[in-house]
Amino acid sequence: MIRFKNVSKKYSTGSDALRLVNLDIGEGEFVFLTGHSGAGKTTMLRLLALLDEPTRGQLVVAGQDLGRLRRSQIPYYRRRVGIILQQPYLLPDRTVGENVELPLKVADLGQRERRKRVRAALDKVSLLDKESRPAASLSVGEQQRAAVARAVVNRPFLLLADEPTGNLDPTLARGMLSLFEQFNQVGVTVVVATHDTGLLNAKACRTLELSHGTLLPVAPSGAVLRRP
Amino acid sequence: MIAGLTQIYRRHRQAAEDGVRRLWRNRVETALSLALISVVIGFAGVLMLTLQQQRTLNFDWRAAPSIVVFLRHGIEASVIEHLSNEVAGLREVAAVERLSGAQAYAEFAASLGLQDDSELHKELPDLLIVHLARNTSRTQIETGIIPFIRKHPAVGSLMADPAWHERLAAALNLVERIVLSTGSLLACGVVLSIASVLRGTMRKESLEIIVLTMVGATRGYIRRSYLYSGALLGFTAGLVGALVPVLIATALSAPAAELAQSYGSAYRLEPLTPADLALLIGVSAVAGWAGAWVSLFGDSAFSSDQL
Repeated sequence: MIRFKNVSKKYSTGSDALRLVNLDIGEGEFVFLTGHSGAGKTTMLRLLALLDEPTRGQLVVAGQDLGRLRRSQIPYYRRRVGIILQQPYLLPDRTVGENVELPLKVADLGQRERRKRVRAALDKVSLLDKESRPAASLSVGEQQRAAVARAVVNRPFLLLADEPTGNLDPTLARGMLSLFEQFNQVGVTVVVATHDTGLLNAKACRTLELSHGTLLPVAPSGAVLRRP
Repeated sequence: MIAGLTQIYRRHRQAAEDGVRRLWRNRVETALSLALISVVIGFAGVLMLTLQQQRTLNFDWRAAPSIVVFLRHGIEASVIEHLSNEVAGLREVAAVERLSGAQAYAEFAASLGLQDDSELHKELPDLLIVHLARNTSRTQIETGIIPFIRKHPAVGSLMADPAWHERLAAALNLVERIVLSTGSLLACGVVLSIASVLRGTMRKESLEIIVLTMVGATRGYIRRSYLYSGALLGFTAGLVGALVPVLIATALSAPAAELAQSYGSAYRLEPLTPADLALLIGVSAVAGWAGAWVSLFGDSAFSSDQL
């Protein structure tokens, strides 16, 4: 499903964000990506979302070599990937429904289909009753849930979340995790970058740890072998 | 085929709706820009109106070259009649007007507000005013008509300036070029004004552009709604601006006719035709669209680096 093959990323500032990362993530897998700030978690997700490109190496997603995608094909790839960031990036002057509808408008879906999917997505994140309210009037937790609804409304095959619980209290964070689990159960591959230990302990799944751009080795049981 | 067309229609309708919403969301800026661009378009419309009048005047004057033929004293009426008919028979001549010395003096005295009590008119010869056909060339006048009239024994002298209307036409052409150049500059002004407005809007809406990029919008998708915003702003400004020459033509029509009449002219101020107004509005809409293109040039707003 996802294959990093000797992937490195060096920014123009000279810093090595990723160093020769080799990794396979299976279809429908739920993976945590952890590590200290600046370890390279966000860079990995940006590469997967094609918001950035590797300096070297090969990145294959769903059989598609992302390095070979033409520039004009990138938006179409992004439509199949749900992205959730630490900041919800909602448009404050639009309603919750309009925010969630954006990916469907971009994908050129008809109004009836858009309406159906928006309601389904909002129902999933328990925000159906807030559909007509301005996004700015939502609480932080609600805004993050609306961002999740926007990320999944176009039925992505891959969900990428970068510190999605960074601004949430433990209860809301667990609710967010539960949402990701629901999407994962219907076959969506989920990659969550976080350093929230509460979140990491709340779910038993493969956890990948990055340190200074390098992926730490993982024991056969799935436990990360920490450096001494 | 039909599904494809439906999709294209839906895409453009959506972009147009987004374009309208953008203008509405930024309504204060939109209203100010609309007012500014309407003034520019209105000025362009006034220039078009001026050009229209210049063409009308040019046409009238081109149609009006004439030769004044002073006859010798004591020529018999039948000879004058014969000469008049002969000249009127020329292809280049539209009409021949005959005036006696007394009539000519009376007109001259009246134009100066003098009492016509002089005996001077008895000294004046009869004359013929030869009105030439429209667009008679200088060569035809100099080498054909003048020698033909001059050789007649009844002709004393004649007064003609075959080059006058050419000089006038050249002067009016110069005016036309100045008007067109100014109009082009104004069109550039509209393009740049709209580019500036939309550039500002893009900066305000950078979050929206970032989000759209994140959810898979193509550059074309993002551009399209800005192009509709620009075209719509230009079109609306064109509609408002087109009212200016219409109102000016209506307001000036009567005084202009009165002034022309005092000079004995039948000139009437020509308003812009519906086709002219449509052209003005169309150019404004295209300038708006072009302005939106300019605002999108080399834009880094589409870059995912901002995420």
